[in-house]
Amino acid sequence: MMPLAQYRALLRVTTVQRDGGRHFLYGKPVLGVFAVLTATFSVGFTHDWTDFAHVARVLLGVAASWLALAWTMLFLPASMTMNSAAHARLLPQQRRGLLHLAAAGWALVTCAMAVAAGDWRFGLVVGMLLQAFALVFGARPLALVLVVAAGNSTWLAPMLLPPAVVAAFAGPAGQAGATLAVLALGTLSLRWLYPAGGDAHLALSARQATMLAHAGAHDVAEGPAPHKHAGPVALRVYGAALRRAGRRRDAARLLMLGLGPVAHWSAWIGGAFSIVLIGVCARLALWWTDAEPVRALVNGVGGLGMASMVLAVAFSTAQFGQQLRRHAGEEALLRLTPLAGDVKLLNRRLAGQLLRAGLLNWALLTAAIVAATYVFDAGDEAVLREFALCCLAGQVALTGLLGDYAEKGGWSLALAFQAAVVAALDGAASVALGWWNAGTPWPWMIALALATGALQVLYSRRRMLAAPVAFPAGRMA
Amino acid sequence: MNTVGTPIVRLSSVAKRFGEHAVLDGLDWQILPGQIVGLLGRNGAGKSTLLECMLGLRELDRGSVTLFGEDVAALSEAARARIGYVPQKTDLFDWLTPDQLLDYFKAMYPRWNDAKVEGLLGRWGFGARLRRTPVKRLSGGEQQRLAIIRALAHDPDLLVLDEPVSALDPLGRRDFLRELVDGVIERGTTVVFSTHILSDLERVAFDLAFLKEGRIVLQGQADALLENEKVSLEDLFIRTTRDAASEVAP
Repeated sequence: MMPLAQYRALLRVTTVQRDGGRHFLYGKPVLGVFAVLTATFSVGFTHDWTDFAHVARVLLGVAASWLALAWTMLFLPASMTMNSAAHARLLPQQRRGLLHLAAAGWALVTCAMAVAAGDWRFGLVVGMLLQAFALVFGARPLALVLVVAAGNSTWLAPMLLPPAVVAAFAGPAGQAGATLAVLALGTLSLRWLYPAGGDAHLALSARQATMLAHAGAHDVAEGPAPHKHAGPVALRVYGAALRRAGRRRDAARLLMLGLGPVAHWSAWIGGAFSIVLIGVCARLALWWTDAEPVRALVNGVGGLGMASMVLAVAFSTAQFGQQLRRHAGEEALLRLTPLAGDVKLLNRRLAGQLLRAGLLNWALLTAAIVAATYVFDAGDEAVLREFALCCLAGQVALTGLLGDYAEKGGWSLALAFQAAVVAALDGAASVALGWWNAGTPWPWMIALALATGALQVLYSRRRMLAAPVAFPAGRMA
Repeated sequence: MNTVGTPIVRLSSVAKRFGEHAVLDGLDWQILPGQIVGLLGRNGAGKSTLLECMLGLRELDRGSVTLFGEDVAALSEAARARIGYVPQKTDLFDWLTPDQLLDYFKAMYPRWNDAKVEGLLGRWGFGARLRRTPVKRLSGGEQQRLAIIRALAHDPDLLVLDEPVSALDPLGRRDFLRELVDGVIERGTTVVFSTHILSDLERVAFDLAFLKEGRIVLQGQADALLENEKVSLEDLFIRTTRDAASEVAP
């Protein structure tokens, strides 16, 4: 074992010393949100203030949530970057220290969550989620399946698994087995996250760097932003748009097309088609058999499943900022071209095109989700709910869409946190207004999301037009 | 070679800091029409920053830059059409093919020399198959050649080359320098050329400028500088750009 002082040093380097101790997780807004959460949960779930054990569990849950964020966003990216191929081979003790710290952090959060919830199964779900997020950072994108499975396990398991298995899982033996399975997966994950050098390490670390950059951890992974690949259909549509814009010498379109096919609306054709296909398949399944398990599964997919699809709407504009940073040299050249226009004109053209592309993405995905929900025959209420959730997700997608790209624009973890807080406030206000008017929250959510989104766009557009020219992004300071 | 008239590039008291580090510190520099200037300096001396500030791609902390007599922050369309630039890092739109990339930029310029583009593509090894291959599958040298073709395609009056041959093999460098001499310099284009390969610079640059501690510390005609100092270009580079702190006492 390493001396304790070395563990402490590794922990300091990977957490409190990141960004010179100015990471947004230490910022007053984040700590303020957690303070509000603590107060809200304390008031909401504690009826007897003398029940100190209950209050302590609430506080433990909130603290563990912050720890989970810090482990995922601070410690993991920094420690994975520290374990470079050379370090892994030449400093094996450092690698072992990072492995131990990662395992200890994971175990601490998992156990704290289980104690806070008073249910070990909840701790296991949190543990699996943390592992899955870690694996996504570790360039194992298939772990997203695990994220979805863990996140939806509470309602999926009773539908998909036989009742006997569900009952067995609820018992001590089942939980012990699940714990062992999660621990085994955790061991495997750690080996993937902290490889031990060699060619495989080099190949993996390049992918890890791009994944970390994608997640916004640019300070520890100075690699290029990853390039999502567009499908063949999307490439054909993009190519046609490129030829058309070139023929017309349409400067605004050409500037936007310069962000690549993944920033074009056609990149979402496959996603939208898949969503509609799910709806059609579910409808066909119901037409074929009316068995209760199938109906329950279809209802589940039509409800929570479709609701989770709105995440695609929320992240539909995240690529724009990444793409703006990928080709700084080319953007510099574009800016020097006669057709690009002067500073203000270029920013105005880009702002208009970014907004247009964002709204097109939103319209395409929203239409697909609402159409799929309609095909599910889930009822008017469900269609309205999905539309409202899409509006709320669209508001999230608009956050950071426009801004000062010369300095730092586009998607980032801090901005995602801000967007989540604003969306949560909008959601809470909609529920309150719906309850106040003895109706559903969905019409209120639509109105609030559209109003907030419009205000965001107005403010950020003004900011973008007043900023230095966005091309080349991030290089003007 | 015509190198008279009002300066095509004029930098006055230009200052640029990155944090505590002053990269450019009250730099004054001017380049006359038709001059072929080799910009030299040690790694981190600020050559790329200077070229980016010259083209208005970076904001200045202090000072002013004019290109073709216009403030660089508000260049007219006509002035921008006269500039060609090859950045140090060629990060081309890698999802496009060379043909698509050239068509894309052709749409952004009022003047485009198709014959020159075709000639260069042919001479520099861009066959029919390569022209339909996405840029991301081209080698580093092929990408750099494509970047150079794109920069030359609109017959610029001012060509700014930031280490343009760093990814080229000796044969590629020879072809590029031949094109630079025959196709660019001969038509009176003003060229600012930053490179670490001194032998290349000796072949094309008539003027040399040494950047040190944020200023142009030495500038003049290459032949005259070497003749006066009675040293090779390499020795002149070392002597001019060496830090006082790195001097070793005998």
